[in-house]
Amino acid sequence: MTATTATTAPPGPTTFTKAQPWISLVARLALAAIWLVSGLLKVGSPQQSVMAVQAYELPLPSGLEHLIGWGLPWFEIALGLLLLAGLLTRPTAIVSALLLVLFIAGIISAWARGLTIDCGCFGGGGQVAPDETSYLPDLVRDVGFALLAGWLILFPRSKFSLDRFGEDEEFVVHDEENE
Amino acid sequence: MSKKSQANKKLKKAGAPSPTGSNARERARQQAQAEKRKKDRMTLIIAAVVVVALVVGGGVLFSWFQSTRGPSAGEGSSYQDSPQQVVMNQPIVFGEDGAPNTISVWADFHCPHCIDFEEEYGPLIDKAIETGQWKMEAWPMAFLTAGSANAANAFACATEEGFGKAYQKALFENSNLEWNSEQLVDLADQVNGSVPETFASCVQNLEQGQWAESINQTSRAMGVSGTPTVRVNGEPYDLAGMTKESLAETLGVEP
Repeated sequence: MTATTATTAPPGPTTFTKAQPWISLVARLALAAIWLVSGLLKVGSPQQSVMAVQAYELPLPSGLEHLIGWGLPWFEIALGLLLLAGLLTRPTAIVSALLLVLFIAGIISAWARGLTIDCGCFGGGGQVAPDETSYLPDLVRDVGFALLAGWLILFPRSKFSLDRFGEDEEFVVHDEENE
Repeated sequence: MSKKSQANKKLKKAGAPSPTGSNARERARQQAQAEKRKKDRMTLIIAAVVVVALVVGGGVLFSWFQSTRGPSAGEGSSYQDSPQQVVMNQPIVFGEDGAPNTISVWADFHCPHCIDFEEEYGPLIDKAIETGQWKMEAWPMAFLTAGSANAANAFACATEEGFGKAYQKALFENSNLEWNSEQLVDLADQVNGSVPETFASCVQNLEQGQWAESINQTSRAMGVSGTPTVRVNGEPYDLAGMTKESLAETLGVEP
């Protein structure tokens, strides 16, 4: 009696523990798709991408603006691929969240300084007419993306992930317990 | 570390009672496995960081190459202009003098939406010019990069040589380039088949730089704050809901 409760009780197969890996799978794939689409739309036009960075008028040296404009789309693709494979999900989610917080800060700063630019989030970018800015929808969207990343930081374990070994030692141990 | 020892404790409690000797061996095995997992994870993180760094570094190199390589000829423009002098504060005008209608386009050669605009609608505007019913005013605003200003200057140089329209189109088609003098001269060769001596010196010495600056100032004075901006017969033209069909209808040409 006591032995059986001891072996089955620890995680407790509640609805949440059953559903969580599937929810995390959806979050992981959604975030992967976001990074891949956003990166792929930009890698083909490096000059536009630099322009989009320069439009923020941040006090950065020109070389750094080029480095960001040229490198960021590839970085986004790399994050997307890691998430797609489910490799190092939690570290990738943490980096994703940090990057999104930077984006959100950038948009707020552009808005607050009265710039009229396209955020250049999914390609495009640069100055636009004052009535064509979409700061609020862009911010809401990025906060939504950050929430996805936040979920994955809290619950990185997901279905069809390469993280089965190494990443979540607790869960690997539980699996052995069940054997 | 604490996670692991907790897990080990849990295991010890949960495990069926067994002789102490094999239990100790089991614990040692568990510990070795945990150690290995930790090492594997570290290796994985290092490998991932290296791969990401290689992808980003490769991407930056690729982009640098894309920005500094030579231009390509592109599709060319169906409209052939003839040499004309540029005038301070005045746009470059393509089309017949007597054309009754005017479409004015403000664009920066490096502005992403201007590049899309030219690709989508440039051919329609060329067609409209050819009907003799439309003139096009080109206002090459240059405020984004040093390359924008170089390109605007070279556009004026090309216009004075008589291949301005084709050159303008090719500038947009090669918008991934940073636009240094060498690339701008090379582009003339691609578009025109040869580089006039006067063109090369015009580009290298930024001879139309003051004209380009006057276009910026006049445009701002006219209330143009962003690019692309389009006006039809002096009236602002809404780009938000524009399609090829709607512009073709305005211009009276086939889409």
